Amino acid sequence: MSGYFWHVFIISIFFVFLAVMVYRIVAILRMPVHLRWELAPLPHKKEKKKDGGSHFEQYTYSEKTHPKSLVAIIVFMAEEILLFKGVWKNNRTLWPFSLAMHYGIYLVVLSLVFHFVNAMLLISGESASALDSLQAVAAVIALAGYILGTAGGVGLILKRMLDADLRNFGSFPVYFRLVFLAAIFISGIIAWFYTGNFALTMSVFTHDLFTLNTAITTNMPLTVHLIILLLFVLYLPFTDMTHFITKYFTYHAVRWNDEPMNQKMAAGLDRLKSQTSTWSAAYTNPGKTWSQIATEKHKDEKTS
Amino acid sequence: MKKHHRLNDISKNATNQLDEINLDELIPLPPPYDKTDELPAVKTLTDEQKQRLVDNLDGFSALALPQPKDKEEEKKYIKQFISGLNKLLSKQNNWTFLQPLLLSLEYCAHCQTCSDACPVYIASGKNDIYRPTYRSEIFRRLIDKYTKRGGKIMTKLKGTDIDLNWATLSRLYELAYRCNLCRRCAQTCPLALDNALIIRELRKLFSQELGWAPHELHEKGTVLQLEVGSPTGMKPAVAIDNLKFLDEDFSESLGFKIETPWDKEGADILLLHSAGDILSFPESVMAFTILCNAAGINWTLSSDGPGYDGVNYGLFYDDVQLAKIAVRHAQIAKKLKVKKIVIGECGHEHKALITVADRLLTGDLNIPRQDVMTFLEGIVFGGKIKFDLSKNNFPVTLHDPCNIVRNLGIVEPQRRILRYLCPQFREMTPHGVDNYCCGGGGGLSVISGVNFTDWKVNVSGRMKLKQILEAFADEPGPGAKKYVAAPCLNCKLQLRDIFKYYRAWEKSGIMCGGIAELIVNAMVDIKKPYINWNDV
Amino acid sequence: MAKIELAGLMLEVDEHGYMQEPDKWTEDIARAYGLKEGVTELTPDHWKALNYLRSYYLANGICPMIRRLIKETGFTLKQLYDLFPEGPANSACKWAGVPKATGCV
Repeated sequence: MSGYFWHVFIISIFFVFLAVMVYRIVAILRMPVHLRWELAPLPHKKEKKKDGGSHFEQYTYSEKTHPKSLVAIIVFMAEEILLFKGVWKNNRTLWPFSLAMHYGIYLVVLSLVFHFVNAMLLISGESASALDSLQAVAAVIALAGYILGTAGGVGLILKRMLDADLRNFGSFPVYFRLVFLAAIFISGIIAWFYTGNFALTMSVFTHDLFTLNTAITTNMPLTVHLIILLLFVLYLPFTDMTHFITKYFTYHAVRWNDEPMNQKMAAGLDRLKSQTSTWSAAYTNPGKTWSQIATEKHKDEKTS
Repeated sequence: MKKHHRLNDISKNATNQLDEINLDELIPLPPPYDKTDELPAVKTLTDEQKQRLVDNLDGFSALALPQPKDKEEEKKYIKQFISGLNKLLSKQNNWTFLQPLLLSLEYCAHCQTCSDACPVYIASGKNDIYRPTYRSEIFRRLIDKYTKRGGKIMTKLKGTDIDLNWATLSRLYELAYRCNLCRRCAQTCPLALDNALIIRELRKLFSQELGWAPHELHEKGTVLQLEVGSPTGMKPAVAIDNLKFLDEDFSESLGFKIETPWDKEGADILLLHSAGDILSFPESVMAFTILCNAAGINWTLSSDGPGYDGVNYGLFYDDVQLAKIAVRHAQIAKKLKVKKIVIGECGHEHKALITVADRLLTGDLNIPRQDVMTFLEGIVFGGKIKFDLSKNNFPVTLHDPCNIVRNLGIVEPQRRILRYLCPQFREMTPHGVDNYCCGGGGGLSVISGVNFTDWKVNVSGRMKLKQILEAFADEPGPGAKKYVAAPCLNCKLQLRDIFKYYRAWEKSGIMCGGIAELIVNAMVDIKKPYINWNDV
Repeated sequence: MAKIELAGLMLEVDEHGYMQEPDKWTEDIARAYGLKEGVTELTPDHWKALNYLRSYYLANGICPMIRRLIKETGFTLKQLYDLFPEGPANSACKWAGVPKATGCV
């Protein structure tokens, strides 16, 4: 592969990835405001009590505004993303596999960042010693990621096939993506060992990518690895593996969304309520607007 | 003993039961309830009922769904279901819960972390049909197949094809009412998805499109409430008359004048009881009257139906009735010019009125609403009433109603009350936001058609009974009278059903009641014991 | 809707056996219900409770509170359970042709 193949291939994939991701996120953002459906504990309230207590416990709650606590949110997210606390507590036998696989992803992504930084250092031509150290780190991180990812990916496939609780809920897409992920990590291990100085090769590759160098080269195992990785990046935004971003919405837009009414929300709600309902059951008053249905008059009964 | 079911099984053999409940397969209860041959036999459908009604799930019928007349009728319902699916996923018809629903449908990783949190699933001995994900995943696959472009081909290719036939439809309908909407599954999901929401939306589809809903929740529930004032059938005049009778009866037995105020315009507080308490737990209603009056609170009830009945069954199965009733409650409060609505000891009323309906009450309908726990806490620690802490010297444990504790995060105020007034208060395990549902949540408490009560007391209520027995393990016998504080009428009804079925009063001396009664029982000014252990 | 035969009449009942057409009630129906639960004869005490239940229902549309029943008839709760095997709500109301209580009760 030479010439502009890698440049075109990689840029196109990233564009598609971004476009589809943006499309999905915008689709979520454009969903209408919904009725409140929060669930305690809400970690972002400063008055949070350790056992899940909420601001409702101060009975003048309707008269005060309640500031959010960014620290609590970040701590909660960190516990979930780095420690998989929920899975540890409630699904322990799955935890090691899930953690390993996700850390495989985190470390490989991190290694890509390192390759990019190293490439920039190559371009600037400075700090040869810094470059050496960073490349050493990048090599370790990449290998650790590939190994953990392999263990986790293969482990998850086996767990899902062998555990009767999970087996019934497996399906072709579920296994396909795990095989795809495992392929990235396994091909990564092969490429790492085949390539003499993996981090240096990756730095140079990234450098050649950004400098639009048509003499960009790879070896066969690395080519295979990169192609699998890039095809996965192309595939990812079309699946629910985008939960890494949409988790933000399931938490902030639903689970922790206890925003009280304000003018902007009320205006949006009034617009929604002016839509017509077309449900079929007679009691739903099809053909009327939601406002009309909710405030429908009935005979006023003061005495029997 | 775990039971595994393939998802596709739901669409096969429409006339055969998908599974059955054997008491020996459920998780064991502590003694003396551990010998299954000493417990009453589980009520099954009669032969006549099996002829007339659909009985293809687990041997229980919550909904008394009649057998369809012919294949034409089956096809009609299936067509309606598909049209309902499309409406459920549209902004026009489901803006109320579209975003939460779509997110929960799209992002499930099928990790099954939520299953072990479900009290029904665990109590059943881990029977797959009660898994939160069993119903949700089937629903999800039906949506994929019947509403997405190319769905039929894609699902066949993916191996997620489930046939929407009468078997699937009728079983899904019953399965939708095997969930307590307790949201323990939602609490444990690492991706913050919500299986309880999916089930609620499924119920909504059945109700708003096919007109299928349990008559205890719909015709004799929300419809009756909007018509006469309360699902109990109590019209305003009857409610006033009943309260007058109770005022006199309690005044006589306690020796001082007790009077419940009605329709006081401009009062600080409109108290919104669950009117069923008037009929089933009058000592709870009277306890509030006594406490509010003793604390000098400027309060009132409303006789403007449904202003004397705060329940809102719409929360359990649809949006239309939910909205109508919530708006009515707010309109009544507005008309009466009260400063605040205080919700009584009723769990789902809290969730319906304080949070879910919050965005339905725009403009001047947005009246402040307060929960019962902080209200009672204010009375207990307000300094106006004197208490004698030795009067509640018996074992007391606390059941946490899902809708107040897990959903709204109101955990401590009721504990401060009980720790203060009940020297032998002990927590059950788990407690607080992690507590288990009583088994009557999601409207199941008032659904008792055919043989459903037997399912509730054996399966959905099983974890709760186990917890209660374990909390009282230090004094298990009938000699020690023990009180389960359950500040929610639906929970009390479910507990009453459980205790009656297992003869828990006779064998273990356990009864249930609210928190208000405990508070009154400790009042210095109440000379006789307020809690009547003989009234069980 | 289920149907059963009581006192020679075909009646519409709910899944628990409560009459759905209250105006078809007769005293013989009450006796037939009683017989089904093993009560072979309805004594004046039975009728005191049943008559009160039915007249309250006809006037107010629902069953009376247990307290009211106890006060008006003079029977204790235990006595009511002695007279009516399944208790006032599940036996007496049924025998009196009063529909099953609905809502949170």
